[in-house]
Amino acid sequence: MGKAQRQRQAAQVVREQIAAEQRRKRTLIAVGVAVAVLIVGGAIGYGIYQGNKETKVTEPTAATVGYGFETGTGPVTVDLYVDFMCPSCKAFEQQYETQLQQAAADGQITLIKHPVAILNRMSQGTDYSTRAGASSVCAADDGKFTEFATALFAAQPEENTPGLTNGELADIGKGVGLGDTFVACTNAQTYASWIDKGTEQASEDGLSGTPYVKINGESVELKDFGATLDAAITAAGGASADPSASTS
Amino acid sequence: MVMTETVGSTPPVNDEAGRRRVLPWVGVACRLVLAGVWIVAGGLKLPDLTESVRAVQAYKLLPTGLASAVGYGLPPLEVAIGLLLLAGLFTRYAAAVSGLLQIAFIIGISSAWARGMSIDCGCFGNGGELAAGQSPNYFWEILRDVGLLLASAILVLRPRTPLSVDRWIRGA
Repeated sequence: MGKAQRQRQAAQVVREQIAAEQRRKRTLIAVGVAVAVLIVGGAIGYGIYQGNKETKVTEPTAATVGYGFETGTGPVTVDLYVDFMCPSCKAFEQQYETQLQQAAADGQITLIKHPVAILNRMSQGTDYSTRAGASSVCAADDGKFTEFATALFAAQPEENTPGLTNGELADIGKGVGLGDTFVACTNAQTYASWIDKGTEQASEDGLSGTPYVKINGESVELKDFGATLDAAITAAGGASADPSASTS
Repeated sequence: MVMTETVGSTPPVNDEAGRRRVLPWVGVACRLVLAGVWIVAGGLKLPDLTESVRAVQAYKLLPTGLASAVGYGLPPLEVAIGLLLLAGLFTRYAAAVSGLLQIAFIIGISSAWARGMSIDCGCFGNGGELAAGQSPNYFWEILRDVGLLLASAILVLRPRTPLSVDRWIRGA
């Protein structure tokens, strides 16, 4: 191998080392920028998360079970998640409410109703689902959650409308016998963040649409609800809650 | 094999040299389309992460705890992948994650379709069960995801594209 050839080879090696060094430096710069973007993004996200956590959540004075209100003490637990703007929830109420209240009164079931707000985008920016839900919690504080909820479904506004105003919600409450504390609570929207927290918890627990029902902790498809409820009540030793299904 | 050398204008895709001129720009197009889709899909979900959780819950494929984690974690991941592909940084790895996500979505949507469920894919926000009277768009959603999977695969196989941070690093 001649001297010129060795010199060329050495120069080639040096060039490659310089190039490799440049690639390493540039990789570090690129990774550094990417990590910086990640940190800034993460910090912004974390800041927003902390801000939301610190939003003061006022707890209702009424007794609650998992962001829901309980009726009855029967052995079969029925969890029902409803959004007051949801048409299927109104249909569910019309189909099953009487039966469920009767079963609770007969000691067959413990009914827990959870007001959630997943349809706020359907009320043109007024957040009707949250407002109606918060108002129902005010009614719960005065012991009239069930009656008020029924009245809310009876007066349900159409989707893609602003829904009812807080004043109209207050009037519905007065119609079922609620008083000034309820009206003030509704106008102040005291429980709006409690409704939002309850919705968050329900979403983490499997809520994907309303109405959402669970019997003894297991989620149930709406089309199977009646049959599954009857089976659960029978299994727990009670007679069927649906009088038309009795066999005697 | 005969290698023809031509001077002057040549139809760009009819020979080896032509393909070398066009393919890199196909790669850039893949990067930009994927980046746009990922950034928009993730960005639309970031303002309401609980809705993203509900969209994942609707598939009833994962246990609720895992579905929550995916619902919270997916939107920021989508934005991150989109930004990497936009910049052309670590293109092969970002494209691989992009492709794996598309495979997961195709499986999820197919599963919902096969079980006769009626849900919104939740790919760009919304999601959850469809109201009565709305029919799902499973076929078009899967077709779209297959297209995005192909774009991801192209970048996994040919990650070196012009106008990319990767190219700047290489010093090319």
